[in-house]
Amino acid sequence: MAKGAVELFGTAFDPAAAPDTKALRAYRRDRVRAALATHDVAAIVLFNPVNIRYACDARNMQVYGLHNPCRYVCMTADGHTALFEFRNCEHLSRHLETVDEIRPARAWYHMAAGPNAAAAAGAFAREIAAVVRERGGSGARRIAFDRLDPAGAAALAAEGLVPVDGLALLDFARAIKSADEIKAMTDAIRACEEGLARMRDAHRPGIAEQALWAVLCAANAELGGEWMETRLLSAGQRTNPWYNECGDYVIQPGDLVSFDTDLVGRHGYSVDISRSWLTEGAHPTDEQRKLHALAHAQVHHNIGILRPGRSFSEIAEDAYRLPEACVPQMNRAIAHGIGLCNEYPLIVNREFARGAYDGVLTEGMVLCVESYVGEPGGRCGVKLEEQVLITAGGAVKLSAFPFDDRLS
Amino acid sequence: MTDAAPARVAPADVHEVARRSPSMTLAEHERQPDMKRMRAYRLARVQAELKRHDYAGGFFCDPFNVRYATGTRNMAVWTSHVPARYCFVPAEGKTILFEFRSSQHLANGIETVGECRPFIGWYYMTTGVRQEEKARAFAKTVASVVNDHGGGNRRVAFDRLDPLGLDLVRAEGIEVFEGEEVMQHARSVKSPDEIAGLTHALAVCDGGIARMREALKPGMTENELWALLHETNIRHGGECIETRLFASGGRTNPWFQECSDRVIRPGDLVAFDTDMIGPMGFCCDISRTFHTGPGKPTAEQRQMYGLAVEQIQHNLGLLKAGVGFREITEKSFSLPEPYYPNRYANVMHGVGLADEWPVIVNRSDWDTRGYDGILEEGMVLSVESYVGATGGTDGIKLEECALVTRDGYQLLSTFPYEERLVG
Repeated sequence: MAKGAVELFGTAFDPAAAPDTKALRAYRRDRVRAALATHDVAAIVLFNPVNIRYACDARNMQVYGLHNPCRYVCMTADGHTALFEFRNCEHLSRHLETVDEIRPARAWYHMAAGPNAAAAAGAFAREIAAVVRERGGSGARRIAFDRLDPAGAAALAAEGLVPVDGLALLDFARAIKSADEIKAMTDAIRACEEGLARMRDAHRPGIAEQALWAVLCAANAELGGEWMETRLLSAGQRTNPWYNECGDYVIQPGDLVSFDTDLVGRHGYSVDISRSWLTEGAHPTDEQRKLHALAHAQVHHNIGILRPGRSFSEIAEDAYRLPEACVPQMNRAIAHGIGLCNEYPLIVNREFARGAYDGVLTEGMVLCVESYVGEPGGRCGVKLEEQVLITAGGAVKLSAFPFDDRLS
Repeated sequence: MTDAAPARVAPADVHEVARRSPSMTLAEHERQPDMKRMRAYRLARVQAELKRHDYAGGFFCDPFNVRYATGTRNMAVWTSHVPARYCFVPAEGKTILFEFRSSQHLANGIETVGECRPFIGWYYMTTGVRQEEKARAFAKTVASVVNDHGGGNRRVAFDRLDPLGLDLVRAEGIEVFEGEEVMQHARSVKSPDEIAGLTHALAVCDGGIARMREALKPGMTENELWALLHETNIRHGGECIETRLFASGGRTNPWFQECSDRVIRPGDLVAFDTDMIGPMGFCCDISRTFHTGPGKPTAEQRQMYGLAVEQIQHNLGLLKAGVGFREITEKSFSLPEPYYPNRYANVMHGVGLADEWPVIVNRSDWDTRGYDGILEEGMVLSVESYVGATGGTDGIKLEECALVTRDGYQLLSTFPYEERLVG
């Protein structure tokens, strides 16, 4: 195998090569179509723009669409894909060979429909029923949805359709990536890492957390990425506990700065990596170095135990054991799936086993392997996270941004 | 709730508050938005709507609704599509926040939250094969909270509830009602504190637009320019940008093409719609169109720009407390023929923490999408225009943000029009 190449399903390829976008779209559409057959549903209707993009690659006002069900796609079991697009936006998706027809969306959320929501939901349901029966015959009943509010559920029932949960089948479909998806994701990771390099250059005492975070946000937008899912950057004492959101705290000499990129980048692929950096002007403290070493060890030990065929509970059993003092605030997840956003599976540390679910790791999954290390009441916390591809031979790192060597 | 929550913007205050754009860092010597009073006002608005519908309370998971009802925020974009936290708002009393497991500390010190509990998620990624078990636990929690706080009333509003949860919640004897209606109506009328916060956010947005105007030159990509607005917003504590409606040259017609790596040329129009969720979560939704030098705009570009300004001014003039949505639709500016087919999707829409109720449509869309209602003092509206001929080479996007007052309106957006394109 050439240097830098990875092997997936018996074929070696260069993840730095450009993806074949038509092949990428066809692969994803076929994954959804196959899942419809496996789950015996006549169609799937998707409102979440992330899911719409997976199924047919149509993109439009994505962040707005995350919270306003203003457009949707309906794929029937034969693979026919009808995109119900926001008014006057047909021109955005006409070129997509994965979209067979474009119709205006029937909006029935309250802002758009006001007091006419029930009537609008009725029109929505009648049109979906017509499409599904035209393509799947009059016996078509079970329709999968990624989200469906009560008014829509009632309207579908009136048409004799039965809504079923679509996320179970969709998340399984999305979990296994093709070589083209890995190429697209690698391109997104490289762009994110360019943003991290700019952030590292801007990182100095006196800059506010949100000014530093803005460097990554701007780089993502400038390089053609999509949006930031969270604002998880904090510094100094604010790194402990984790999940403080970036604010106007002014970063001090010797502060740790910890962050989690959580961005949706180029091609719509997520890049979810975390780092902790030392702010110049002071030597690292023993505590900072100890926590960083533990987090580094946890991530890399756990990357080493990921292999296709292993169950989540086996992985949890073999996972790195943090010292007792760091357990109360440790990350719940050992790793989670990633694609167009965070997705199935969620592999949970044994300390949280009561709420966990089991499953099997499979070749072609991409996982983010996580660590947060900080003691309750401690002065700082370290967040590290790497994005890895599961191949037949084990996990291969896709993220390549260096760790802060002053902390090692 | 509290008598500190004024129901309306006092008329005498409107102009001062609307034009002021307060500083948001510590300044004991200046009047600033009172956050505690703002939270109290918002919670009272939600509870008034709950009572009006005779609901025991509401479960809300849209992060914009959670922020409005409680004043708390956590991973707002991610939770826009992943229902990972909820709040319960009883018809009276403090809220219960069901927060993402590891984020319990974020609501510390927020007085609208009586209690913070870990949320048991039942979306597939966290539940896997145990989805039904987790959804059942959610339904049991709903029932127990309603039993404890509903005083026997089991009518409850939900802003989002997927079929699995819906069936299980109903099986617990809960009557499920539309929560978006509650929240959209609560959110529609703004307090003076909200207007002050919004004008601060708009100042940040104007700052970002000014940076784009200053940086605009041939040879840049659309993405490079658009990134400046992102940077400004985040640097000043803003949240995110909802869309990527920034286009140049031929990509400005038809509208709704998304920002790309197209290189901007001399003579191009550059049109954008900020759709920016700014500092304190206030939505800044304004549109402008620039002309890229060197060279002068064409006569057609200037004519289209003039029409867009005329449309905006005409429609702003219709704003006044007490006016009906239908009346606005009927009296709204009618674009001449080559431009009508490409008209913007609506005449105006509400704005607050995001685009909000109401949406007031164009005349020819009334039968399919129109609904009536009445403008109230304290509503904030984005007034829209897009002018571009069918098959035309480019187009103009303009949009202004205005506060509805007793006598008319007060413009909140202030970024100047493009001199070279005016007149």
